[in-house]
Amino acid sequence: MSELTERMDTYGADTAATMERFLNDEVMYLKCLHIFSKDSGFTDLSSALEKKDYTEAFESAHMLKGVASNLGLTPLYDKICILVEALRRQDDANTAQQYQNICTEKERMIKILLK
Amino acid sequence: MSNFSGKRLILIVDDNQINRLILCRILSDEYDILQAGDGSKALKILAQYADSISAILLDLIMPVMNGYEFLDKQQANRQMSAVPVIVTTQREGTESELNALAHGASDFLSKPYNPALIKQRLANLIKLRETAAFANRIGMDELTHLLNRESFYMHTEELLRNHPGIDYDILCTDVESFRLVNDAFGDDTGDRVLCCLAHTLKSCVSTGYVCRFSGDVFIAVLPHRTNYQTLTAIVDKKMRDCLVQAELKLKYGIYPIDDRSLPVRAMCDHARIACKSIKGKYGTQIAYYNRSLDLCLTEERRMTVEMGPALQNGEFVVYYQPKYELATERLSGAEALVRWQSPKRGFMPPDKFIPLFERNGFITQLDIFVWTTVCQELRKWIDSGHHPVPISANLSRVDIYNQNLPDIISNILAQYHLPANLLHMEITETSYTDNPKQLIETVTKLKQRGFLIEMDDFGSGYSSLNMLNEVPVDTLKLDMRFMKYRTLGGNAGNILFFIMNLAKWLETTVVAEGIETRDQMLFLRSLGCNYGQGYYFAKPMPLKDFQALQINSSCVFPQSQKEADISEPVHNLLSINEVWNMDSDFNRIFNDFIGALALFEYQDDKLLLIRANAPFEKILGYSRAYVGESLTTILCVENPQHFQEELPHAIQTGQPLRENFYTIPMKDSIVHIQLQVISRNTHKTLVLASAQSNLLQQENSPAKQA
Repeated sequence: MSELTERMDTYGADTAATMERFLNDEVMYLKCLHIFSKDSGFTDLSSALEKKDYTEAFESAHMLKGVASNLGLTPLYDKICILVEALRRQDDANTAQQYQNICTEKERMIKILLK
Repeated sequence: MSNFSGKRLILIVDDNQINRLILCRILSDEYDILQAGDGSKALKILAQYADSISAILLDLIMPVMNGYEFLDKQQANRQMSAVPVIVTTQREGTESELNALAHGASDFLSKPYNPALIKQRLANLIKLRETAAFANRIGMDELTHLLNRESFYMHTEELLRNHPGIDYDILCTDVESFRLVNDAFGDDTGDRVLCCLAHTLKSCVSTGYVCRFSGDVFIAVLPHRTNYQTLTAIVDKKMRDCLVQAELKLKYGIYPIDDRSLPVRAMCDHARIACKSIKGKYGTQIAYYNRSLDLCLTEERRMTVEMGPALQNGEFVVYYQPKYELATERLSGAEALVRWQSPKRGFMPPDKFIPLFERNGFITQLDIFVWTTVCQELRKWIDSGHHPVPISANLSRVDIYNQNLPDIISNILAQYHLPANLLHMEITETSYTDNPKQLIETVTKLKQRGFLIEMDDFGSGYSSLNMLNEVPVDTLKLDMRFMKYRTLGGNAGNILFFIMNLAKWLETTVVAEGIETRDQMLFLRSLGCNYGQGYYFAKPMPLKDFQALQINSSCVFPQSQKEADISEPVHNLLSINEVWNMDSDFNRIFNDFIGALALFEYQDDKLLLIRANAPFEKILGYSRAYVGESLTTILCVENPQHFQEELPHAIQTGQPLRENFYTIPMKDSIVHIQLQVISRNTHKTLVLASAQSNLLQQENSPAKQA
């Protein structure tokens, strides 16, 4: 167990499958995490929700969901899924809160994995 | 494209950099990768590299142009649609996946990526596509419906991979002189023979594959056999049934696969080398590959590298083999032969390198070198106050394809101010076999420039007689070793006599090569052979020795054309061609004439019957067995002395000769014969006879009175 994988476990990531996907290349994994933490997809999602452009919001959330799954960030992935499914149903009642939950989870992820 | 490493190329289309990074990380070991951030960029890349891209990994939801739009545009283009697409989706039900398939995608993968699954699906898809493309495009040989070379390689690789415990052989077979079949019986028959051979081989190779490798070469992979007698016997029998008019000789080369790490291509090369090693070897049908055959190939490659510098460094040397006039045993010329004195390999005779140079084209340079050297030496010889004998030099069958050849040779002669009759050109019969039209054209051009053409190794090919009809040669060269070899039954004398006679009709001279004994020389002389060369006279020798020989010999020098004309006065009422052309006026009259006419050849003081017309046959109570018999024998003349005394004079002067014969077959009649020389050249004299038969009761017999 490396320091990184320990922290991934602490965060609740799908460590084993993710490391296999990255061919145990931790440097590259961290690089991807950094890119993801600053992904414009998050701000695109936020502004689309503000504009109530749910199509664009869905596309952004969908993309984030795919990347989160590839990075094995299960807790964040779960929060994104809730918003994606709401947008797919065109149920916009709680989207602001759902987005907020994503941001909180993202911050927690950054704190644990990228400190 | 130069940045690619030669692996298969794939295109990754995803708007997210992280997804692309992950896919690249997973796939870059096995593939070269192109990336696009949206569908529109992907289309541009695809348009440029459609031929090279093996597969596309496509994300569906992207800005600018999404995956569905990309698929629609890609599928609409014939070339681009050939590239298979795998869409990457998220695990969220089948709707988007079905949608993607409906838009033309071949497969789908879901996020998060599973590296093993991605690699396997991609590999499967690419293989499927390539196999299908192969099978459709170039898998089969159109004529025989066997596999072609490329697909044979592929199938054999697979066979060997799937059966590691079974020993296999690669078998190569080749029809000797297949061109003969096409030439003699037509291309359709040739094709039929190839199909028959293909079918037979396929039926003999039940577990394995057979392919048509090229032209008349077939290659098979089959489980190892300790002997191939049964297989070759079956194939030989089938081929005899297939083509009854001629016996086809098949050669087999076998490589028992002992090194599976070799590419199949190299295995096939081994079998082909083995097969080639027995080409033209009578009585040997099967050869196995061994390393020494490979060494030959390596040696040839080395020689190919060294030949150019060797020519520059003066390693090629011209030798001269003296030629003698048989009647007088006087020196009358020489044949120029090239030797390679290599510092590495020592002294090499032509058979060690000429076949290689003919294949790689270097022969033309070497021939030009020989012609130039010969002319240079002739000039020096003349300038030093000597009288030269003509030298014959080879004209390779490869040279005849060179359009500029007559100019090249003429220029060399002009450079040294030599007449064309001092340099004879030797061509081989195989040149005719290769390309008759080209040979006739080249020879005709050379003859127009005054060169004498010699046909080397006459009788060693298959088309001799037909060729003589078409190629205007001046001299036939016969190889005595060849005659011995080919006439184990003891017909050498007959065949030689036939060829000498043929040469007389064609007005060509004959040179016998390879004369080793005095007996051979005397025999050839008695048959009328003009010239000879061989160890009985002299071996090929360096220039200095040949020059010394010329100084110490009494030589026969070539006559100028004028002298030749004066020495042979010719009485021709008719050209020989007129006699032999079936549609000529002479022949029409001869055949339809109401009176009896016959054509004789004057030889050794006798008149030998060539042809007779119908009325003549009637007079004689004619039987065709008389052709070749003498006039006096045919007529059963009781007392031919008077006639025999008169005949030579009449032939010499060309005056008509009248004679009355009392003959045995027609005891009650007298035959009045009138003879007239109608055509004469250096070797042949033709005499026309007209005849009339009268019953004895009507007149007294002048023959009896005489």
